[in-house]
Amino acid sequence: MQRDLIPLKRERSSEVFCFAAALAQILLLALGLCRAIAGGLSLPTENALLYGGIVALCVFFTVFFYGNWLTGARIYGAAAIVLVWAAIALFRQQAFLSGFRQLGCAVLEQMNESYGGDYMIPTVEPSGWGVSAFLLMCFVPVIAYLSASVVFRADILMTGLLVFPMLALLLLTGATPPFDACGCVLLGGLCVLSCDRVENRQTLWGERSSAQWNENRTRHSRIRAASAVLTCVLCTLLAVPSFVVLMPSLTAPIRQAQPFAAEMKGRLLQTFLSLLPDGIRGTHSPAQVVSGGVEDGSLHNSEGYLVSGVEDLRIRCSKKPEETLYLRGFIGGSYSDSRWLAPDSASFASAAANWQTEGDAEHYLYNLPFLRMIYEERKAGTESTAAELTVERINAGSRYTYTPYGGYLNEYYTITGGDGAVAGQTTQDDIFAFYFCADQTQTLDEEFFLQNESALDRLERMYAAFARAHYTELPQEFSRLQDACSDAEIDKSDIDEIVTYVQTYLRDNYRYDRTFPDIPEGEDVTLYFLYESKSGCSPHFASAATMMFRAFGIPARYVVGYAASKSLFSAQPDGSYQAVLQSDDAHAWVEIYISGVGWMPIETTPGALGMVQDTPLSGDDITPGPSETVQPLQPTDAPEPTAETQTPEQSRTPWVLVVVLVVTAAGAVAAVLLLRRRRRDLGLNRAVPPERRVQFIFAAYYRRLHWAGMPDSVESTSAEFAEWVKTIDPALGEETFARMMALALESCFGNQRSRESDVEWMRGVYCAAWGRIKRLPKKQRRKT
Amino acid sequence: MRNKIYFLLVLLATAVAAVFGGSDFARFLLGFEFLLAIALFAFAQIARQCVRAALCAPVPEARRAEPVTLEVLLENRGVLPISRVRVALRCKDAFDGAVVPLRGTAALDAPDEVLLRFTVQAKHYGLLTVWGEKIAVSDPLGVYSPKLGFPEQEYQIAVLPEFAPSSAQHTQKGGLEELDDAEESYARGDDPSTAYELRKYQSGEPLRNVHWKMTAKTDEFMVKEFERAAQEVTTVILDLDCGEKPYARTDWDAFLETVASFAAREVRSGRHFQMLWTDAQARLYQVQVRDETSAKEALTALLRMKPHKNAGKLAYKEKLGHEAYSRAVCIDLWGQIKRETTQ
Repeated sequence: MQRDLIPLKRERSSEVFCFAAALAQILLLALGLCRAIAGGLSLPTENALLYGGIVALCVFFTVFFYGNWLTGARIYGAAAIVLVWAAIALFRQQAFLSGFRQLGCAVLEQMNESYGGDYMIPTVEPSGWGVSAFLLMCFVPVIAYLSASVVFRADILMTGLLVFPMLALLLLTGATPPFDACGCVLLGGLCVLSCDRVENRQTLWGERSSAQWNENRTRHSRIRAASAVLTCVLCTLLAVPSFVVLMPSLTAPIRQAQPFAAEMKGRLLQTFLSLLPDGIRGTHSPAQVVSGGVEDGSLHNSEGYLVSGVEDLRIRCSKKPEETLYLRGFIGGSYSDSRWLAPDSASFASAAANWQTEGDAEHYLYNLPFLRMIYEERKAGTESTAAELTVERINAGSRYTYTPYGGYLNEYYTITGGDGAVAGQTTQDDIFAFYFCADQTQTLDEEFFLQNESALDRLERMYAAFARAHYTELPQEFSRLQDACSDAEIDKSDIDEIVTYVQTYLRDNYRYDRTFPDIPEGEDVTLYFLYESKSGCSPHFASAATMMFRAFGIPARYVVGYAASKSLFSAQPDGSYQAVLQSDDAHAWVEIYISGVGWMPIETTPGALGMVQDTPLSGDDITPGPSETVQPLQPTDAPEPTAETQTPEQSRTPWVLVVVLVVTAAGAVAAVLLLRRRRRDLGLNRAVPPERRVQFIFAAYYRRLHWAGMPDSVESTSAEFAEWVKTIDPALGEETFARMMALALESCFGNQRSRESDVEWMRGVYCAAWGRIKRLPKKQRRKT
Repeated sequence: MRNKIYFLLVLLATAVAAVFGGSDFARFLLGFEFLLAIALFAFAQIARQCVRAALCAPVPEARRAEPVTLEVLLENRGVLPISRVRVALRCKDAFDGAVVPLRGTAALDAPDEVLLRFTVQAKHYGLLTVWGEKIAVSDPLGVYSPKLGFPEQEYQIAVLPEFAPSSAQHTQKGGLEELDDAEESYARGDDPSTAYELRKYQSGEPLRNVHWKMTAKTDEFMVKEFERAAQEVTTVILDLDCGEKPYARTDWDAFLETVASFAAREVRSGRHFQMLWTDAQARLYQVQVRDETSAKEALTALLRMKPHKNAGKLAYKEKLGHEAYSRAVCIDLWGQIKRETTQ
């Protein structure tokens, strides 16, 4: 079977239109890719040079590949381009290599930031010119390929073969390409896809180089260009409501689905990471281990991937927290060889034997602050201020149960080391009744304790003595620290003053650095942090602070767990407040024993101070002022923007939205009106009688003649009208004109109703005539 | 359907990226894809309204191994270019009921008119029925392809054997030679029962019928018209009974060639005859053949038949009677021509 496609209408020449459409696609793709790389990796670029160069390259290569004028000589042209490219790379190799180094550094930096890697980043002097020149050189083959694929084939697979790997590599580095770059690439890709979808069955076109083949080829090029332009316009129009209306409205349902998605993602990641051999794992902060959770007391960097964004815990509080909620995981009682060890259960058991507690001493002692709070509140006849906390483990490590301070623990839980961490549980939710630290410190102060000699208070006093005996011990190698603390000119009997001193000392003399370097072999991590590196992350600050508190004679312990800032909590429909803690929220801090109150968390990591230390131990506000040397610890540390702190750009957003909405609405109204006008001109509205539609079509033809130069004074019934028709549209023919006039007159004044076939005929004549009239050159239109 | 599934997968992937990644662009893309799906659907529906298609009438008869042209006129009256129009025609062979699909594609500018031409060649003689099955137009990304109905047109193309006498038939014994001999004897007027009329000669008539004596007398060509020849029509019985023998399509082609050749010879000899055959249900078909047109009509009617296992000779005798049957020949499926007798 042989098939042929025979065009019946001669296609008008549209070389410029096709060229412009191809150029637009190449520009969208090339500019989008370049912007994605430069913006995603935050490269310092000379924008005018880079994007101007990209545009010039796009134009050059489109001209190079377009049309037939280079056929045969294109291979020599390509060779010349390669030679010129190599020559430039050779003679300007310094700039080229400088740009390459900067790009490499940017990639490493991005990977360090995204994956918590510790790649060494060489120091390179930033040079916008070098990066721009390097990117331009790299984009020469890229644009050449894009131009060839768009002009010759318009094949989405060929285009995607270049675009997708580039974007995938960029995304793998953890970079986030800018919104506009993604939009450009999307638009360009859709245009190429629409070109690709235009039927290109050349076997139907007849003999190669025959007239039929050439005609089909011209038609195909034009349809391809028209399809690309149509897609571009359509997508641009759709992008506005997508951005203004759908994107914000999708936020709420997506947020609702995110907890489930995060759980799924976490489990998948956990499964995937557990399959990886240890040897290829990276290192990261000891506060965070594989797929979340907290590490034991080691201060060395741990093995495993730091996967940010994995949701570890979901906590729900019956009251809105007004302070940072600390959830204890590991508790370190003694220190040895850069490692905190769990409290000694034997010494606790020995001491607890004399305390004569009801039931087992571990639980009784753990619940002591809670019980005392209840006792005092009932005694005073005040309403209970206890809250309920539900801790749901999603992906957190299962070694520990994460418990709040001042909480009540039933006997189901196992406490390790006597007064240490609570051993891990299954995936079931843990529900604790607890008191906020602020309420605890307000109710249970030392003065109160001295005046009330209840059984609970007596036990409290005995445990305080135990804590002083066991948790103030300082290893010998910290004698220098001991001396420094002894020399500190502060009131050593005032706990608040000591706390402030320790916090200020660490903040002013040490720098927070998430990428904590490896400690030299044999060095103690805390000492190295205190006297060598002077930079570290929360475990190092917490460890050092624990030592300092002990040097001041205050019982202190090292704790690793999760810190939930109050800003993380969001109100739920049932009146509770929920927060989702990610692996990034894993944290280390120090807890000190305050006689009469119990263990209290103290934040000592710079940057986290403003967030968490909103529980003054004696009612004083100890939040330090801003520090220039301190870097924010976690993304969640940033305060929520308020009306006062909103930037002008943020406050301007609603107006921009209003303007965009108004423009969109105006565009939509104009489009509807134009479509209605066109339907009317073509007589497509079947609700209108056929004779009226014949009149509409004739009126539209009359208007077109005016547009082409016929004076307004010429009436359609006059003889002059026929002359004008002959002048403007000679191809109409006398017979056709006569029948058209007859139909129009019949529809206006005749007794018979017009038929559908008359409408169809009039429409066909009008479309053909309008096609001829609009192709009239401007000069000829003016002349007529 | 495949493209819809691809689009759905992309939508799903975007939704997953929006939920898992939570980036602004993923959310934007999700909304954009929803709108794009709606817009493409609307586009496809509009395009469907704008496209017209017509199957152009092909020639009613064709020869074997010669090209037969089928044309579909496609017209886009809208303002939107249509990247793909798929046309599907169906061609059914009456002999074995086999349906052959004919598919073609085109892209249409706005406005535009193209002719999609299918050129086919028939391998066998037979009756082909051609009709338009469907036309589908696509949106610019090829996600939706709504179908529009073809006008209800159906064309039949009869692939006939060449209407010319074959030299091979003259060699067959007991066939046309005997029949011709008998005819010759009538032509000489040996038969005493012959009665004839005289009339003027008409162009194209065989010269053997010229009555030379009367021509000499009247100085005008006169021909004698045999009464018997006018009344007794030669009967050609087509025996479509294949019995238990295996039968191939090529045999059927050969049979049709024989019949056509026989008919051509008879028509060109100026003899009228009737063709008789029965179908599988023993229904009798009787077609009068007077000229080439009626002969082709008879052959076209014969093309609807198939060989069967139903012996129809008894039916012929009952229908025809002694006199007509005595002037009959039978052509069987293997091309044998035999004189029928009344014994």
